[in-house]
Amino acid sequence: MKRTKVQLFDLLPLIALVVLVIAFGITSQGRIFSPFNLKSICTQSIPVIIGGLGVMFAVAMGGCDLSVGAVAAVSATVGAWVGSQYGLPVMILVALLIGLVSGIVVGFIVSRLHVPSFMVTLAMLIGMRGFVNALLSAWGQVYNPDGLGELSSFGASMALVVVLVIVVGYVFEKTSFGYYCKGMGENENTMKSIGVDTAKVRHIAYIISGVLASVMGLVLISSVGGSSSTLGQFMEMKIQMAIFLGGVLVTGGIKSKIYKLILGSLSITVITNGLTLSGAGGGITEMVEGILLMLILFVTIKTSSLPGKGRSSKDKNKQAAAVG
Amino acid sequence: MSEKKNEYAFQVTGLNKRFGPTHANKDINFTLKRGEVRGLAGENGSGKSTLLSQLAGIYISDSGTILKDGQPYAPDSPLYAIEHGVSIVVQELGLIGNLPAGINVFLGRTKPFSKFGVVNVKKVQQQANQILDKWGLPQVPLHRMAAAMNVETKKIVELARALSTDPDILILDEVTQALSQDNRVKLHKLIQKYRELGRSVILITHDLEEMLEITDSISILRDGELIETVDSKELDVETLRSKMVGRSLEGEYYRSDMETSHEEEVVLSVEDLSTESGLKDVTFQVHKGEIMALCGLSDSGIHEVGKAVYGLTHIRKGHVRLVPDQVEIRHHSQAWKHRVGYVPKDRDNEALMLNASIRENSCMSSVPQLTGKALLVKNGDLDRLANQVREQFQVKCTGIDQVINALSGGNKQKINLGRWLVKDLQLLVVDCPTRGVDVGVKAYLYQCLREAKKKGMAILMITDELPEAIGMADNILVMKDGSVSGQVTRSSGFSEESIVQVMI
Amino acid sequence: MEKLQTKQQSTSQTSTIIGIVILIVLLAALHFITGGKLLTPSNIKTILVNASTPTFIALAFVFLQASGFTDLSLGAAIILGANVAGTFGNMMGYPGLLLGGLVSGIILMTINFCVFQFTKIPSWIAGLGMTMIYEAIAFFYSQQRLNAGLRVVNLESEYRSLGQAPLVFVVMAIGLVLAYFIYNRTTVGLNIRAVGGNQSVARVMGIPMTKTVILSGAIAGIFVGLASVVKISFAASVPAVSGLASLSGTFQPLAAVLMASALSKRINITIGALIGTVFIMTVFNILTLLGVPSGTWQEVCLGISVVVFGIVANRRNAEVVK
Repeated sequence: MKRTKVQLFDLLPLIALVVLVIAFGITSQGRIFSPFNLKSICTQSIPVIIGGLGVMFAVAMGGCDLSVGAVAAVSATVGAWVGSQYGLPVMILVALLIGLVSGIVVGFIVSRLHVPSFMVTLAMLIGMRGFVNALLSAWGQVYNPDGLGELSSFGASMALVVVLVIVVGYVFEKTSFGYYCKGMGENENTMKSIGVDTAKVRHIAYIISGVLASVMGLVLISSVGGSSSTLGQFMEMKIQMAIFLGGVLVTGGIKSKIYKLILGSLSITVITNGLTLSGAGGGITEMVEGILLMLILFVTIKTSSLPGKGRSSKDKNKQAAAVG
Repeated sequence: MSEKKNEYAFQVTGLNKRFGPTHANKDINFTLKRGEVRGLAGENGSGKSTLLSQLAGIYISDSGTILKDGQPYAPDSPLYAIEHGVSIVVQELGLIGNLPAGINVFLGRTKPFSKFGVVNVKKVQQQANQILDKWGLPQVPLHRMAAAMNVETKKIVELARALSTDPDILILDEVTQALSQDNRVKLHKLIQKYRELGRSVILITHDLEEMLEITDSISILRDGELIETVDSKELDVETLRSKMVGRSLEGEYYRSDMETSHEEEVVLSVEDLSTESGLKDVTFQVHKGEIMALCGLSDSGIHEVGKAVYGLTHIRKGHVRLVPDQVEIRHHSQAWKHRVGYVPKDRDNEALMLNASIRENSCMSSVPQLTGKALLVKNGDLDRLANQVREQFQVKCTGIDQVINALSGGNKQKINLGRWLVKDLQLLVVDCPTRGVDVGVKAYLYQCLREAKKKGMAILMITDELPEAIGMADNILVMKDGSVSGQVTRSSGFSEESIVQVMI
Repeated sequence: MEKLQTKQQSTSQTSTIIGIVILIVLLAALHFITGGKLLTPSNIKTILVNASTPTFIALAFVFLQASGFTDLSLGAAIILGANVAGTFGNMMGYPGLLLGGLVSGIILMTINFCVFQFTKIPSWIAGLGMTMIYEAIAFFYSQQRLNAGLRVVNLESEYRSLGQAPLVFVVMAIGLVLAYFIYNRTTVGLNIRAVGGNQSVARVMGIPMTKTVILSGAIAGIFVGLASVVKISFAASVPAVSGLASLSGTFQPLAAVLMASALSKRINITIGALIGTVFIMTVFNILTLLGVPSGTWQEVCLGISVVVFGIVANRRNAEVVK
């Protein structure tokens, strides 16, 4: 009996996505299924998936990373500015380097100085957003270097996301490092008492997140032609929502899976896309998004709570720690 | 008839409590007279604390009836118990750290001090002070935050909290352990006062001599069953202990040989170890194939030594050396790498991932050995190892996919210990390895440790149960106040009296 | 033991004095650097007026934090509340303004806490969902008004003195005293802290869980309501936003509360929340005086100071932190 319940929990994100697609298929009178629209759902999901691949490591260990949207914006903006003078390869290099450095810094503060990740990454979000605006006001317009547009083509971005999902998915699902991350979400004290260098694992997790955030930044900027103050804005929230919509628990743990991220990213894109195609105005879209988010989370939490109430009290502790 | 009934403060019949698969208390029957001071004795995991929690409304009993002063008493919450004149001081610290101590005394019952929801904080502090005065307890700084107090002061605040409701039955779960000698005396006087007032006390203490001294009668629990209730005057420490351990002392339970036996090679060498957690110049060595027991009261530093040896606490001074590998352990990842294992005391919070499966819990300690090229960990290898642990240690479960929290304490502990014993370790640090498991599993775990010793594993066994140390160890190191206060070898003949003397 | 305490006390006293001296010297230096513009009465007034709305949000966060929740939907709730307060203010004057703000604040926060308590969705995620819903309602409301040929809610200038000096200082003082009082001196305040501090112990002590949690929502709602009133009084109109943009309004107060909790061993957290907010506003003010535009390097400083305070607050923390 327990087994069927676990399976239901693991299938839930797929069920949610199918239900969403069917529902919006009806309300949009089938327009959601047009080849053009399906393609645009994919295109819109790609940055969420790429950024989410990095954030998954932090989420698996029960933390979060709210800095990715801002890191993406800074790395893409600086990259584009440098790249418009020295060419595309330099842009990519610089962007990745910024993502790496930011990951190292965030990871250091979270893992070695024991500051809650919610607090650090929120502060990074505030600070880096300000930094982007400062850069833009200093540099004026920042346009992409030649050749970056290629990346925004459907084929190229699909290839990129497939490669990243395979590579990062391998690290997350199949390696000892990924296993440690998930174990830390189950019980970090266990991992410590066994002998895992939890600080190091956590540090590396945030570095991966930082680098993938900069890749997301490149994808985002490639599709808009240049930087702006809204580049990557609220992406971190969208990614977090996608991960939890996909059925990953906020406490992380062994059941965190990459396929859940992908399903969640598609779900959140389908919600926005389906509402637009169904002719909903801006106000309605946002409200329905909010309600659907909470509804799906509610169902996920209800179906996952089979071992008892242990999780919810742990959540509370986590939140208290996050603020305090 | 009713007068006769009123002689009893408690009449308990058929009390049961289960936690999942664990039957913590089976059909408990006993009576408690007014003016009686009752002790509960039993090994760890025998169900003493559970019984007290049931009486105080912290756990709700599955079945059974309680009469208090002849009236039905069915505690479904601590509040119910308090309203019916029953108060408890629990074993774990039960204060809100971010509130002043004085407030803690009356928290949840601030109504008498408040008007329109506004609390007269000064009056609360005064009242709390009066309680301390009334019962002859020492004065404590009640305006300070509870979190800023030491364990002893916190305990006194908790006592004040329990006494503040003026209960006619006072329940004390391991209170004396945290108290210094003069405060212990004050508590004994308080208990005497209770007796004189015709009120009752039920208490647990690990210090059996103390228990014999201050109680009128003692109920003995074993594996969740109340075996018998004996008049304290008819008991001495020896008989009491053998009653507590019961049948388990027979046969292959402990080692039968009386010789210290180990190889010459030193595996672990601890020199002048001092830490912020309170250790002072701890020095000892553990040899290959030796079981070294570390004995002492809970706050003597024995648990801290285990943590420090495994690199889990910051070492201020001194060295922890793994002699064969010629390395100094500074970090737990290093200890892990050099074939050392650690079984922490708090199984559910520190050792196991309760919501994860048996597979994850069995394999996590061996992940480096299972990791292949490109950091690959194969699912098949995980399954194989988990099944090995499960079979080798006879874990009762439906399969390796079962969530570990669904297992009984004994089976959990088998996995907790077994996941290290399947590895080729040179040193294993075990902290209270048989805490909260029943006698059968206990015997099995001892057997496992003996086999590991035979294979040449060095074992550092930390324990607060003397019989366990005496039954298993080649050498016993006794600790007190963070430093080593004595060492006894098996060959010289262990005697409890001599060890207890160095302990206290 | 007693001796040790007095020694600790005296060292903490000296370090407080040293801290105050350093602060004064620093302020004087900054006053000099900004060309004597910092410590003028009018500038101080500006700083304090700017700090009014964030202070109330910070106080709401204090109660959220005390009960163990993090809720970023405060920003959206305040936008909605400000519009409600403005509408009723224009209809009924000050009573309408105050009641409209307070009632909507209390209702919205109570709803939030019911959602957190009963769905068990972690509060900061559920808060994002509530943010979307509240933003949408505010957006609808303005849309509706525009469709009906009205302007966006614009509080008449005759009712705006609660957001201007000197009356805003009175409101702030009342709010602060209220928060201090509830937090330290009332049954519900103590219960909230107990529940947030250690749930299982609080339960054993017989504190009603659900009731306490929901009451703490209502209390946070009072401060959300006051923030709405002051905000619309200060700015006359509070435009609706969409796409989670209201989140940014909560960042400064959140940073202030993080600072306050870093200081909470020395200073009561409610007063700390005010000090934190004023500190942040002063930093922003100095940067503005130095010609640094808002929204750029000012935010960078805010981010850095949050991290620094976080590091200071957690420097002795040996427990697991996620």
